[in-house]
Amino acid sequence: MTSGTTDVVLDVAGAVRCYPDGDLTIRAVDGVDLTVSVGELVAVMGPSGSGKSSLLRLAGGLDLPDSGTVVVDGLDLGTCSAAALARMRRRSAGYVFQELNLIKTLSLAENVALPLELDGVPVREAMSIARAALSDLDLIGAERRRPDQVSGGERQRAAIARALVGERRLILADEPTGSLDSPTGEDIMKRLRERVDAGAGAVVVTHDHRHAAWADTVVFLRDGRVVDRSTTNGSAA
Amino acid sequence: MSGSWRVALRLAWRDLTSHRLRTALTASLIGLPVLFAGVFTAFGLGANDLSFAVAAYIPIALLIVLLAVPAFGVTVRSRRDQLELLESTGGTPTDARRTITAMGLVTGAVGVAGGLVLAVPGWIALTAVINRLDPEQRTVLRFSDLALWPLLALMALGASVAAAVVTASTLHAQSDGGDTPPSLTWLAVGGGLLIVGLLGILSLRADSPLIAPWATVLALGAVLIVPSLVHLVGRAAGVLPLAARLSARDADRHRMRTAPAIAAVMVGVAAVTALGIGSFSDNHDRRAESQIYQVPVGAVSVYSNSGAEMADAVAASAANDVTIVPLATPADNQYVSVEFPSDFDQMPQDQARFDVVVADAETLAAWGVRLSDDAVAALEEGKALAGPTVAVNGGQVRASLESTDTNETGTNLAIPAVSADVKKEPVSTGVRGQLARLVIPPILADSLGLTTEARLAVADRREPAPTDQQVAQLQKLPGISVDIQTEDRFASYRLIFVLLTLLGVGIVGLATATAVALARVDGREDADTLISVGARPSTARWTAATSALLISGLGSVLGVAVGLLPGIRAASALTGGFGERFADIPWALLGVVGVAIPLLVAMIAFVTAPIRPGEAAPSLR
Repeated sequence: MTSGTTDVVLDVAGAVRCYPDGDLTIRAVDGVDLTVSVGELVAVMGPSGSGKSSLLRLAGGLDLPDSGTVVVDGLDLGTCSAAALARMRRRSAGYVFQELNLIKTLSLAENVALPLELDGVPVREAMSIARAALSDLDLIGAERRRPDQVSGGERQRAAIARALVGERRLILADEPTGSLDSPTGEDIMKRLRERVDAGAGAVVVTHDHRHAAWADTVVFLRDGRVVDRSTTNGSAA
Repeated sequence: MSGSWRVALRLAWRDLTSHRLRTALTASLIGLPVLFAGVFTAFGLGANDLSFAVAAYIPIALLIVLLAVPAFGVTVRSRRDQLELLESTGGTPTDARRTITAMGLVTGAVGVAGGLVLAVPGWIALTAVINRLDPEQRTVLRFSDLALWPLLALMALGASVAAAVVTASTLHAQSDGGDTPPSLTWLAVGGGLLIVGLLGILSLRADSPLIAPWATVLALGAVLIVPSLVHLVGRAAGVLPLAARLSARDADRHRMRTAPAIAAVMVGVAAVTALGIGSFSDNHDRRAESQIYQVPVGAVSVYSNSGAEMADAVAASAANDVTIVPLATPADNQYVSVEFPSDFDQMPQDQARFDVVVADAETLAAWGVRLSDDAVAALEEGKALAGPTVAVNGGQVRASLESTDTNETGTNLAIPAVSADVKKEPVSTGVRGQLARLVIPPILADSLGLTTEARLAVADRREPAPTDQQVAQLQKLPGISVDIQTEDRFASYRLIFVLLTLLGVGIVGLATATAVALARVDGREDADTLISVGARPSTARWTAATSALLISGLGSVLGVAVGLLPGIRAASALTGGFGERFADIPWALLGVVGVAIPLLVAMIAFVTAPIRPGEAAPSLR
């Protein structure tokens, strides 16, 4: 399958991913089907160990399924080269890690500009776009600071800005509001919603039902399987 | 043993055994210098050289500290949660520090034991190689040569514990790094030591043995300024391409890890540089000295007390299938003074073994002198051959013939002569030296009234060298002595030095690669983040390569720079036997340690760099 413009930005079909756990093998993701289209925000919920993060890693091409397929923006990740996967992560899918994973030696603006710079955008232009993205998330004045020089909330917003920057059509966020207070968390979800409405699809892993209320679809996982799906009005505000 | 130490040792042991790869890398950083020092001192020192051994082991201990501090830092950062857990369950900060110190003790013991165990086969193998390549060395294995190893083990173990104590005492700084600039005080102290070391070395007399202490001061100064250099590179990184920028900033931010690693590579390379220059120059000097001052002859020389005994020896050796060719010189009661050219003082030094010899072309050939056709013709015409230190004017050489038996004024001679190259060929490769200033053919010697005597002969150089049995037969003859002159095989430590230098190069290479590997272990989360946000495989590879190049390249270049001056001065102290002091700089060796090893390490880092998410840090969440 080749890359192309379509409304479906993520199509996970029958994905299975197993991990060794001592003498046992854990089926972290066990035959999951999930489709996300442009304009759709999907919240993934479930108890700890239910496979939420594993599913997100498959969607982001950070891991590959043992069986089944994962297609991002028309690209079958199972058949891609490392270079093609990297290109997908730069251009198609932005990822917000649970641990944020900002590079500590770079300023917030440099972190946000990283995917653009890696994609060949000139440094000046990439930094300009990054500063605008940070400004959108109310991080004016913090651009030059490094991750350990700002608060946890600011780090979180910078990580989200890095995932949103550019023309990506798929946002994957693993508990993006995990370390934020309620108002800030709500604000983050609102901005994600806005980005989705502007022409992207998103999958957000969360434990918080209030945040899940921003989603169009809520998927419940248990033991690696989808046990329930529900739709909401996608507007918690 | 207190309960605190018991717990510390148990925790340290468990941690080290459950992370075997990291433990092995750290232990090898301690073991490699021990391996080198063990093999080196087994050849270079005996049990009586205690003071020299201590002086030799101090740089080794410094190297171990520099290599081990970043390695322990990596361990501590990766086990920080465990150490915090220790404190949260009632332990004190002292308990945490003791755990790290215990890690140093246990890792050091493993590294030292491993280094010395490997040094035994290294010592045996090196001995075998030396004896195979150069039987003249007749190197023997004596266990007494290992008498200093316990001292080496103690100093290395002490260095390992010291490195752990340094790491433990900077526990708070072993975090994720920071933007704090390096201490200006240490920079000033380092700069001061660097200048003092330089001035100290430059102020030494050429033959002074005090180079090592001043070189240590110089190296210590360089070690102290390395963090500032790393900081400078990090600050200037903004203009670099992304991969280099990330590497430079990462190195700056984690100076606790990178600066000691760079300093360790620097010290190792500096030692190899100085050792290389010193040993290659010494070898060159000894070779030149041997060629010039020892009898410039073939493989076997025969001396006799009189011409008659030499004649008997020639006859006896012929019966023994050995051709002995005597060389005639003016008799003891005659002295031939040959005029020097006017520009003799400005001439390059090229001392001849003999002043005047009487020989024909055949004799000269047997002695290893290759004459041109013109020179052979001149001898056959009854003309003398004049070397460069003889004035030839109008086809004649002016000389005076004096009798040492009388007080009469010497007879002036006008000897027909031509200028010619009368250098003898070395037995194998080496310097061609002048056989004599003036070669007079026998027929001309007779006409000049010159009486000669031959008390020195060589086995004909054009024939196979005499066997040991034939030499033994010669030695039984009355009134003569036999000397086996092997011009290119003089008794020197060349082979040992060269092999030890190569061993040093190998160890520097391994230590560099290990330091780089540990740095990669430490920085794997950032590496994985880079990949996960879309870095091309090539970008990930270049980032890994530039990180490796920064540590190995900066360390190696600084090492060559730091080792150059002490090496040159050491060479001046070791050379001069021939007259002129000089330094023979082994550029190929410096190229290997200064350029090839860093590039090789960077290339390995490039090829083995993780390019897929999870390869660098499987636990990235």
